[in-house]
Amino acid sequence: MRFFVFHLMPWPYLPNDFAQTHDTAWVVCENSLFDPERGHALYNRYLDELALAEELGFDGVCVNEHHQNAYGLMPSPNVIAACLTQRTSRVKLVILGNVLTLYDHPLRIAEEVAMLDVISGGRVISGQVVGTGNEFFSYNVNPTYARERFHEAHELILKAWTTPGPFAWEGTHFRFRYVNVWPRPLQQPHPPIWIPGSGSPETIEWVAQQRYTYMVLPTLAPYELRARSAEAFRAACEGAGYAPRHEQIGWGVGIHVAESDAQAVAEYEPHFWYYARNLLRNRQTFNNPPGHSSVQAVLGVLEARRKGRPGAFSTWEEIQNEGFVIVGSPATVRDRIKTIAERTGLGTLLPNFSVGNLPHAVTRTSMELFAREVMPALRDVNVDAASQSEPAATPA
Amino acid sequence: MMVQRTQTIGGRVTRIMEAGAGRAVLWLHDSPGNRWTLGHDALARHCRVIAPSLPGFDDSTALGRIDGPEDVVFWLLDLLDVLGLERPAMLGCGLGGWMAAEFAVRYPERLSALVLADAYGLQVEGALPEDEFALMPPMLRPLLFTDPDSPLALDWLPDTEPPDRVEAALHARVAAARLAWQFPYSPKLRDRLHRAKVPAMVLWGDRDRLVPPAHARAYAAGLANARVVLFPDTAHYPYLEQPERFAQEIARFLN
Repeated sequence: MRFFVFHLMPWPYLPNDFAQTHDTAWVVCENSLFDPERGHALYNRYLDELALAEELGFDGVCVNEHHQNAYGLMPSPNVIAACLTQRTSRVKLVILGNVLTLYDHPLRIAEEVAMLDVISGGRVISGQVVGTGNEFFSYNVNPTYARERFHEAHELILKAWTTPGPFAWEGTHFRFRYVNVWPRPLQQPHPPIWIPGSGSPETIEWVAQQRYTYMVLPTLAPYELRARSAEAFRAACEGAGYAPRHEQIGWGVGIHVAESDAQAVAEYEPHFWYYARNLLRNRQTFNNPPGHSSVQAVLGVLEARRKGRPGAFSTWEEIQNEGFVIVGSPATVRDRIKTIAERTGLGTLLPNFSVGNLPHAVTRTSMELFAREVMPALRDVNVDAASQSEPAATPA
Repeated sequence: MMVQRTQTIGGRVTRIMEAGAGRAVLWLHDSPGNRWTLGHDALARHCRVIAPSLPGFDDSTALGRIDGPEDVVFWLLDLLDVLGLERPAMLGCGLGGWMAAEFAVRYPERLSALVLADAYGLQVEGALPEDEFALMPPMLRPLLFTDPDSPLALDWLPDTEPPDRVEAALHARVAAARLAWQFPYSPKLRDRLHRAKVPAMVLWGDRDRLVPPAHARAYAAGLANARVVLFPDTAHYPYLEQPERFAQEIARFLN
């Protein structure tokens, strides 16, 4: 297995009565709650945590893109990735991902990712996403075009990286007389592509066909739901005529390690609730704008939602027992991951250590324990044959 | 007695509801989709009411390249041709009112009258319509109804749609968002209103908090010789809250 530290860069200073006074941490959550002085220290603390991941022997670090919210302070993941090219020298830099739908100039993404790849010496992994529903409100992009825009932007970016320019692009949503991206990426034919998904069958099918890496990534979801997504992905790959590599199946999940199970829960739980009750607090309308998913997919989700979803759960026992997160002593966490890996074939794990308002010192200790006492024992689990290093797919 | 049928209009299977006799009134529905209401019944006692589903509202997968009001205008031309409607009156409510206004400024000669009720369509300074796609039903109902807790309001916009309506509601929401996402207007429509040289009436609930009455005044100012009727103690749906009066005002205007 390989391990990538996933950071959300949460805003940890919401008022204590936030959940009583706000119905959302997104889109319209007033930005006067962001304090730039504290923000300065916070960004640099979070960059330290990502740089620490390299020191501790992780394979990579992940940054992501969300807009106008307290949940994550990375409206531009490429800015953070650029900082990390200078703070690290070995780890993969995973942008997970760029929200392709938001930009009328997808070429800007092709350019920036290529820049990062060249500057970092070919360490970039290009995650590409449709974006959460919230982003369509924040950026005034019509969500009924979400899938069309995503696929067209994806094809354009891939072609810009792989086809000698200049060429013309005449699409439905984008038109460019001159596509001729300088610089070209260092990794040839292009950086690896990772696609996160929360289980939508359309996405799983498409990622399998493209032979990209699929990230099961609602960072908060019960174990069964994640496992079913991973199994659906494996089935889709087999349907497309191949067995997926272990590395092609990824999993983002909250993890906390301490000396004992009891200590781990005691340290983690209050900060988990800050995350679940404040940062995930949102209106259904913002999460699910019309057309963002197909009507059939929404009907399926409505059916599934009768089971507990973020916001519905209320006890730590539920969180722990349903496997929303992995919290415990090194042995507990190690065994749990091993069990998951055996069932799902998982080869890429994206632990998220810095939950909610978890303090830096505790985050650091948890990362150190994981690196020292969990990771080594899992290195030999679900390893692909050497000949199967991450291939870059050719564009459709 | 309302009769429902489907007909292919501009390549799309289209559901059309119809009742009444006499003068033809083409009723273009609002964001929630093509629902037959007490207002339709009341108006059908005075004239022939024809209520087609706008493209994509019954099946959003059929939206295709409906990208904006102009595409709906061309579809409406197809509709008039296929139905053989010679100069009908066009009544547009909410989002449908916007489409009707867009049609009327381009093809006034195809209409005998234009009636707009609580219509989207205009950019009015300081009176941006509320964001219907951002607000949850309990937040929207007080903007749309004078009594948000009335059985009428709770049936029209429940907190969760009942199982037999949920799929239709989702499709309508997608089709409405395609046209009316965040800014439900065409910035140039106001300057084009004078081209709608057709008898016009503007009906509005004086307590409409989704599309404030400032929009009624803007339409009235732009349309030549428009008659304006403000319904007291009425919000976004005069045809739901005041169905009889709504029908009578339109019947009196058309005759």
